[in-house]
Amino acid sequence: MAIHGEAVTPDRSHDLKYAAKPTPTKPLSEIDVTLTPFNRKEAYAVRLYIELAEKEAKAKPIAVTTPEVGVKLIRLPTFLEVLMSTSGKSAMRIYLDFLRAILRGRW
Amino acid sequence: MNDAPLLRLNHHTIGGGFELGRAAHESRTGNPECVRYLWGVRLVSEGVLPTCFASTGLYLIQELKIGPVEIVCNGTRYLQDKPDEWDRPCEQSHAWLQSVGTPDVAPQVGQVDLLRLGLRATGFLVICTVLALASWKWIGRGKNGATGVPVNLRKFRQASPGNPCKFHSSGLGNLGNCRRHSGSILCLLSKNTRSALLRPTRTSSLEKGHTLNRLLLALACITLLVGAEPAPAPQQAAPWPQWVTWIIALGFGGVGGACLTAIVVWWRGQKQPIYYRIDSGFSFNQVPETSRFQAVVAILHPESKDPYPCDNLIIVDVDFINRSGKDYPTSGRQSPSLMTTWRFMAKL
Repeated sequence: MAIHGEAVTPDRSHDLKYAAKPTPTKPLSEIDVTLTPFNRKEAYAVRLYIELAEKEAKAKPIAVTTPEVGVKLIRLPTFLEVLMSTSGKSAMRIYLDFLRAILRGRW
Repeated sequence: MNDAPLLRLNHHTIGGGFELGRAAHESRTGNPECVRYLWGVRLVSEGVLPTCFASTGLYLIQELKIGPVEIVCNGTRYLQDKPDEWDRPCEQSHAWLQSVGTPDVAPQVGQVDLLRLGLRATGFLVICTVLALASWKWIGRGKNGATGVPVNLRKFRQASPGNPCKFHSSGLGNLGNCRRHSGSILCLLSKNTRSALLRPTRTSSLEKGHTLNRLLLALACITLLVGAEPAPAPQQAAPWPQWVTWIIALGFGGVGGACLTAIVVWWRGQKQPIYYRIDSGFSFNQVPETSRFQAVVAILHPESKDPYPCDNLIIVDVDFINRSGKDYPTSGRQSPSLMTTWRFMAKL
């Protein structure tokens, strides 16, 4: 449940409005926001303070939907996620090649 | 600050206390309703250096004007505030935070130290495994033969072809070679023959293997010394006395390992301990990644004096980026210059 939310907008001419803003007294499980305007290459951000259940370490993935028809929302991986996936695969590949070379006696 | 709190920022949101503090700070001018919620900040750490939190606390108090700040580090409560001490003098907190940052306040040995030791031991075992594999493969494979037979052994075979390889050596590779070529590791050679056989030459692969051993073990020593985390103080560079490290370096690494160890020790001594950076302000970047970090923020219920009864709190950023190259909404004949509106629902 979100208990607090704050918007990050490009400038003051861009507005992000909550249908109902989450507060500690009125936590919400669904955040309804309206972005005005939302033209190409523009970005908004909503920083949500989410209260997790007791002994829950990580938050569940947030499902973002839109009522607009014919639009597909795509999740963009962060730079760190891309870096970790690439470097992790490379390191594992090098390690496996190393082991394979040792087992075949070529090293 | 009461023992029952609150809001907890998980460790993966390092800087959460700062973020929430900043949010409260901003809300003091923008949204006065939020001011009543934030009551104080408690920073709880296990293994994280107190100075990291001290800097954070300093930042919260001095820059964001948020207090009281309580720091619990490795189970030790450094600042005990009472609920009525909302207007705690910044000077007092500042003085206390500086006292926390003195080098004689060292973090207690806890799980993080054991974790650090485990990481170092794991690294050491990995390097030892590589060392064993390298020795097994490289000792006995020199320039003079690809069959894995040492140079001196080859000469000995040529000198006495009828004598089987009854060879004993301390080298792991020689054991493997003898096992492969003769099936026996018993040493039935005469003393002179054995000494001549085991005497290394500069071109022998045996010496190459020893050089490699020394090099890899020196690397292992460096790994043990450097570790994954900056030492809080020079005398805590390793979880064991420094003379043990020197014996390891001298015994296994020889002169080269000792020199490298000396360089590493000198380099670590030159690094400024983290304790002295307390006056540099906010320093969350110095928090080691392996350390647990929790920031507990007490929030008051707006209508009552009781803390808000929530347990875990995390901060999640949801970004909305228009990467389609189109303005929205696309339906109709609207011009891109028109005010467009887009609606999202985020379900938690």
